[in-house]
Amino acid sequence: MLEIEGLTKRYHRVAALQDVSFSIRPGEILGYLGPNGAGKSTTVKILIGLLEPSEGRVLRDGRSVIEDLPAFQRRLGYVPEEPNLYPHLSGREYLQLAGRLRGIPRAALEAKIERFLRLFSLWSDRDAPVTFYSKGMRQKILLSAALLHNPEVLILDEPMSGLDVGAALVLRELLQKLAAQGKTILFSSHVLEVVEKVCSRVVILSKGRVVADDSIDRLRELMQLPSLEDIFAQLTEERDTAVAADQIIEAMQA
Amino acid sequence: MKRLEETHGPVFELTRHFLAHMFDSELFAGRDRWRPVAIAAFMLLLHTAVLLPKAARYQRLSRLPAPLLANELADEAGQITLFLAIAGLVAMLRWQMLLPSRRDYMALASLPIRPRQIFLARFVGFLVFAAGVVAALNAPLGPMAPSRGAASALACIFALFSMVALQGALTNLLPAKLHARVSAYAQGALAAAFFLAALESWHIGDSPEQAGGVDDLYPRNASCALDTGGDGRQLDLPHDGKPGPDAVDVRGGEVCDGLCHPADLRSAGAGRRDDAGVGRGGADDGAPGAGIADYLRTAF
Repeated sequence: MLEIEGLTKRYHRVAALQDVSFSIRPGEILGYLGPNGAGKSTTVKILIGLLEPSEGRVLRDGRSVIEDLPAFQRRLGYVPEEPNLYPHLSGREYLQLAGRLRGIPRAALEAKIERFLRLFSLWSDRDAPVTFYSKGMRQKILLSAALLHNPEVLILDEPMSGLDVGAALVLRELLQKLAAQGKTILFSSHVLEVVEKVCSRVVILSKGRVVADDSIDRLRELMQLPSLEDIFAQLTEERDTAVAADQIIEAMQA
Repeated sequence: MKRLEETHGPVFELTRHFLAHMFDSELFAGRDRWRPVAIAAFMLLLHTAVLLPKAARYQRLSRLPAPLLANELADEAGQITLFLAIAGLVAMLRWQMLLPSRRDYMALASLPIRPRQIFLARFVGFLVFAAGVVAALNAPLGPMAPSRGAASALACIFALFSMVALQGALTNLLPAKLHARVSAYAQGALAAAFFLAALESWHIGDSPEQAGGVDDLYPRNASCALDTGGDGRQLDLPHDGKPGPDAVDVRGGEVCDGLCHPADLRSAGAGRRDDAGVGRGGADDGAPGAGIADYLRTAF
């Protein structure tokens, strides 16, 4: 089980996260939602060890992950929101680097890389530098790198970004099957329709604080709203979208 | 080789990655990635073209008595400056690769590596790269003139490592927003400085007589002991370069066992009395001023 306890992160006294707590059980896909600037990416960066929290801790099976971060990272697969890849590496080279740094023996690694590249339809572009890849192709490389070592915990930040319809459907199916195998999955996204279909539970963040943490069905019942989109809009005090669109047109035409 | 192909520890794997892509650049990311490698190789080989015609000269110079090495010192200063400038320019080519960048940390985020391992791997990669540059630049010089090779190798090491130190200082002292801009300016300014230094190195190699800079190149405070030959007397020249009252009948074949001003040597080498003072060498010294430097220029 992955537990987040009282996580707070401040940048120059400005709190990006305030006392955020939730947990993810094995076999569960947790949807992590929030408007821009709510603190989703900050949480994810703390989870993967890129940022240190100002307060609070992250526990994996009751033990702080900070104490032995590399051990936690060995069991972690992460798809970042922005593909920070070395532009001069080819897709295959990046996977080789990721696999080797995870300690996968060469022969096994090469076989795995070939299978992933073929399954994600990247085999013909395997030796092209990633700078020539489309956004979707880069996303497939990042997904492959995250799954290469069969991780126990998956942290996915906008994993559908750039994927075509076919690949997005495959990923949706894949996540459900991985959860059925007992993997712990955090799924951060703005695409509420996908979250609604994929996740069993959601945590909604607003201005750095958790405003909802429950199953989608229960939230619907409690708030008596038909969809996750409506629940999200109400909890995060989203502006009236029609009014906002009118104001933008007005500004354009002024 | 098979063992090398296997998967090793994270620092080894990262070092291998950084080394293999030492010459990669976002400017060149593409199928034509041979270009930066070609540029760097050309820069490293350029000096061989400079050295080879001088090979015979270095060997002859190394057999000369000390007085005649005066001109060699000027030549050596020029050559060391040239090599230092080339090493500096190579460091400028790899300016962004000298220390770990934000991209390194972001691209390797979530992989089981500690930041210090990334730093260590980058630094080890740089050490291997620096060793390669220093060896490539100085290997042809070593057999021709070992001491000169050692001096210029140290100059190259200085150029390469001072760039790392500067990069480190900029990274640690500047705020992130300012760093990229200042770093780019520093890279441009240093590249220009190294390029100018490389050009200037040709003038340093000129005859000190012609350059008129002899007093700057040779210390005047070294005492110069002249063996007067026939009677076995040693003649100590005072620090100001003027001979003492007994500086008479100094004949050919003298040996200076110190670092001497060429003008001092000219007087001694010509085997003449020079009561007017051996002092300020230069073109205005007249007949004795044919001089060692000119002799060397014509002889070699």
